[in-house]
This record gives sequence, C-alpha cells and structure tokens, in this order.
Amino acid sequence: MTLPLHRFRASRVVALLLSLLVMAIGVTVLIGWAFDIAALKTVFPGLVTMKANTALGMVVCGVALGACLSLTLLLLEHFFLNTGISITERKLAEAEFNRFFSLSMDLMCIANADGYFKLINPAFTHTLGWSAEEILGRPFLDFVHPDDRAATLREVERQITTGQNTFEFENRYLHQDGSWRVLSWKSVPQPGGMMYAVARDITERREAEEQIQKLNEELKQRADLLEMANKELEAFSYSVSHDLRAPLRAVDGFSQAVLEDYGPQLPEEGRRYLQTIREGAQRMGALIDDLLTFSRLSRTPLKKQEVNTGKLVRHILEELNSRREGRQVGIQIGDLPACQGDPALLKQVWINLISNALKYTRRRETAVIEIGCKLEQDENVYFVRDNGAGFDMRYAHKLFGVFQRLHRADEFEGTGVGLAIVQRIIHRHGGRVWADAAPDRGATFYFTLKVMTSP
Amino acid sequence: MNEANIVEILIVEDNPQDFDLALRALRKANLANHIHVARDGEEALQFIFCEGPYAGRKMENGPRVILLDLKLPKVDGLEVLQLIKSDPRTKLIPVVVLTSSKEQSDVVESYQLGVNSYMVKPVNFEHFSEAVQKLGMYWLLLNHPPQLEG
Repeated sequence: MTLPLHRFRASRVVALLLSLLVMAIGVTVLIGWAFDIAALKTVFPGLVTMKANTALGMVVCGVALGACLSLTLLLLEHFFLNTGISITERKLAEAEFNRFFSLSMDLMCIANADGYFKLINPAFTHTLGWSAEEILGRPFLDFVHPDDRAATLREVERQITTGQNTFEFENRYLHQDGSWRVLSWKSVPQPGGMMYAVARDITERREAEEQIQKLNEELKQRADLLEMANKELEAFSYSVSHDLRAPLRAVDGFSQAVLEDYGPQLPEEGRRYLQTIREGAQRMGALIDDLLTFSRLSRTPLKKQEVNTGKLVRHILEELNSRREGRQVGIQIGDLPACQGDPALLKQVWINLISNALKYTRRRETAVIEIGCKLEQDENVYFVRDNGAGFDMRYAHKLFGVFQRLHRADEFEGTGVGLAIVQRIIHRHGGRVWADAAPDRGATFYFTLKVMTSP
Repeated sequence: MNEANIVEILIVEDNPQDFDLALRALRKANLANHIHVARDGEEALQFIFCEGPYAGRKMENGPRVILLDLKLPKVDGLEVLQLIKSDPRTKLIPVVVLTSSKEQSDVVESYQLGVNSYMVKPVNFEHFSEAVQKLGMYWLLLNHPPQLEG
C-alpha cells in the first residue's frame, strides 16, 4: 500500500533529523577518537581519556536511539495522521449520510432492542406530525395501532430471533392529529437487537386501492342489479307478449264472430260499433307488438357483419311494393355504400324510414322518395327524403320519443314507436339520427354509420 | 278401425277463448271433424301417449297434427314438444307451435326441438283464422307423412 505524499509531515522530518543528529554526534566522536583530531578534543575533552569500546558503544547507542525515536515518532505520527484523516472522511460521509437521511421522503430509523427509536429522520416528524422528541421519548409500539401491535411485536421478534430481514410489513402509526398512517416497512436486524428500518407512508395508495375496490364492488352490485332488472324485464315482456295479446284476440275474434253470425240482425250502428271495437283491439295489438320490438332492441346483442346496403334497400322496396299499389311513386336510389352492422336491425331501420316516407306522401299526386348516402369525414350519412306532409321543426325534439306523434291519428295512422326504434338501433350502432323538414314540404331523415374499414 | 275414435287435430290450449276461435277458424275450413282439446301440458301428454284417463286409447288413432300453445299450466309447451319429438312413436307427428309469443328464444328453442311450424297468433281474427286454416290444410291435406315401420 502506497502512502500519499502529503502524509510525510513535519513530525516525520523531526524524527529523522533527531536520529541523524544522535548518529552524527556518535560518528564525530568516533572519528575524533580514532584520528586523534586536536580540534575535536578541545570541543569534547572527554575524548582524550575515552576508550575505543566506549566510543563504539556511543555510536551504536546513538544509532539505536535515533532509530527508536524515529520509529516511535513514525508510529505516533501514523496513528495521529490516520485518525485525523479518518475523522475528516467520516465527517464528510456523515454529512452526506445526514443529507440523505434528512432529505428522504421515506421514514428512516434505527430502533433499539429496548423498544425505543434511537434515531429517526425528519420524514418521521413530517409524516406523523409529532416532534422528534415526542417520538424518541416513547416506546415505538405506543404509536402503533392497537390492532396492529401484536403483529408488529411478532414481526420484530421474528426478525431478531431469525436474523432475517423484514420486507413489506405493514402497520398503522398514529398521527398527531389522531388519524392513522399506513406504513410499509423494510428492515434489517443487527446483532444485539438493533434494527435499521425504512418505512414508506402508503396511506394514500391504500386509500386509493380501497376506493377502487369499493368502486368495483359498487359496479358489480350495479351490474347485478342491472342484470336482475334485465331479467325481470325479460320475464315481463315475455308475459306481455303471451298474456296481453290473448284478451285482445278474444275481443277482436268474438266481435268478428258476432258480425259474421248475427250481423244481419244488428242495426247498422251496432255493426259500426263492433267494427270500432275490433279496430281498438287491433291498434292495441299493434302497440304491444311495437313496444315489445322496442324493448327487445336493447336486450338482444348486436350481431355485426358487413351489410350490403344497396341490396338491402332494394329488397325492402320489393317487400313494400303492396303499399305503392295504385299510387304514383317515384323512387330514386343513389349510391349506397356497404356498412358494418346488425343486418336484421338495420333492415328494421330502413323499413321504418321507407314506410314512413310512403305513408306521409300518401296525399301527394306524385310521391317522390330519394334514398341515398353522402360521405362526411369517416361517416356514411344515409338519408331518406320525401315530398310528403313534413312537420314543423319546432317539434323535432319529440320526433324520436316513444309514443310521440306529430300527426293526428285520423291524418296518418301509427303507434309512434317506429322512429324511436330507428333511433335506438342507430344509437346502438354508435351513429346519430336526425331529421330536417318543413310542414307540407316533405322531410328528410338522416342517420350515420361508421365507414367500413377493410380488415 | 273405428272412424269415430280417430283424432286428426289435437289442440293443446289452456285459453278457452283461443280454443273457440281456433275451432271456429277450422270449422270455416271444414277441418273441424275429429278435434280434441287438451287444456294443459300434462293432459296433452296423457292423451298423446295414451296414459292416465286416456289409457284406453290407441296411439295409431292419432292425432295427425298437434297445435301446441307454449305457455301452458303444469307442463309447458316446450317440454311437451321435447317429449313428443324424442319418442320414436310420436316424433313423426307434425307439431305446430301456435302461440302468442314472438320471443326469439321461444322460436329458436322450438325449432331446435324439432317443431314443424311456428306460428304467432295474430290479434286480428281474419289473420288468425287464415293462418289456422292454412296450417290445418297443409298438415292434414297436403303433407304426406312417412309411414312408421312395424
């Protein structure tokens, strides 16, 4: 090991000089005696009578003394010098350590076997609100939540007896304001029961976790409730579907039976009343059917696939052919790009919109219905335009509500569910639906579907 | 074979009004001979399999077609359908589900169990009667069932 130059200090030079001086005196004496130098004899009168072995002894003594002296000084110097360095270095290291110790956001401490903290960093006081004296002045277990004390003691004992580290041990510490902070500990035991420990305040994290868990539970509860409600709704609509229609069939069927069997015996008015009864029953039947269709819409899952819109629309127009009989209806079909959606549901949308167009143009000498699509950004905007009765835009907000109608039943029949169905289907496809109209100047219904992206 | 014992159409229907209407519709189409009605699923099964009160009946005496409601007391229509279609003695008898329910689950399950037709009873009597007549005509007059072996 090479010593650095700065370690050759004054003490070492003094030791060297001293030993050299003693040796020089001895040598001088020896030379003076051997060569009988007069000048020296005047300086050291003893030389005259000194024996040779005495002079030699003196030289040896001088050398030995010098060597001892310098060795002693060297040792002393070495000791003091080293200590001096180590004090400076230790001071430096301590300062560094202290800086980290004070800076740390985590709680750092040394705990004694007596159950008291021996040293704590400022994070302790910041986190727990107590002063350092307060924390150091009481056994640390005093600050631990009563429910966590047994576990804390067990962990400390385990650590001391096994010598194993503690990792992610959690307990609650009392804050000065009476609240509890959740600390997660990591600690290393020392022989003799001392422990070096670091703790992290995970109260917020724990609260966030608890919050998330609570939210999850709430969500699950709500999902369960929703599922239950859905099941009830299903049972309800199943029952409506079965049981509500049966009496209507009886009302309609037996009215018809009376008309058939006893019609001739009834006055004209009686027959008309029976006919009204039948119409009422049939209308109620239509309402129930539409309502069931509507409620089923939100319960059945979407079965999306590519839908050839042009083909679908032409097919529907053929199906609705009977409604055009005896009328002048001009139908223009523009370019209708394919889309991604549930074919059965989208068919329902087109049927409802085209039926409406046919219905509300009934009073036109020549009905004109235009079906098309325009591309806007990443959406296909499909539309059905007619030159029919139209409506006042002031009531446009009511258009898509269930059972909302903008025309009197004696003008145009209907249940007021058709457009609600359209809206629900389009919303379930992530699209929008709206209308543009003016009274007696026709209406245009628009709906959007995302442009199909090739897979 | 005694002609009077033969049952051509078994109507399984718990609602007497619906039964009356169906009967009226069949009568109009001259299909009203040899009709039997069962008022719940249990009675329907006893009749079809000649058990209980119908132990004296012979299975070869029909029915030739069954009009089956789905929502029935005791044993529901789907169970009746399943038992008919899983028994080799009866599985070839045409079964027409004639019900109020348009519920997709009922339709799907009926077809999975091997129903021959599924018809929703319309509220409008003319439509109802037309449908019942067409069904009766088709399954009794036009359809040629395969002959059971043995």
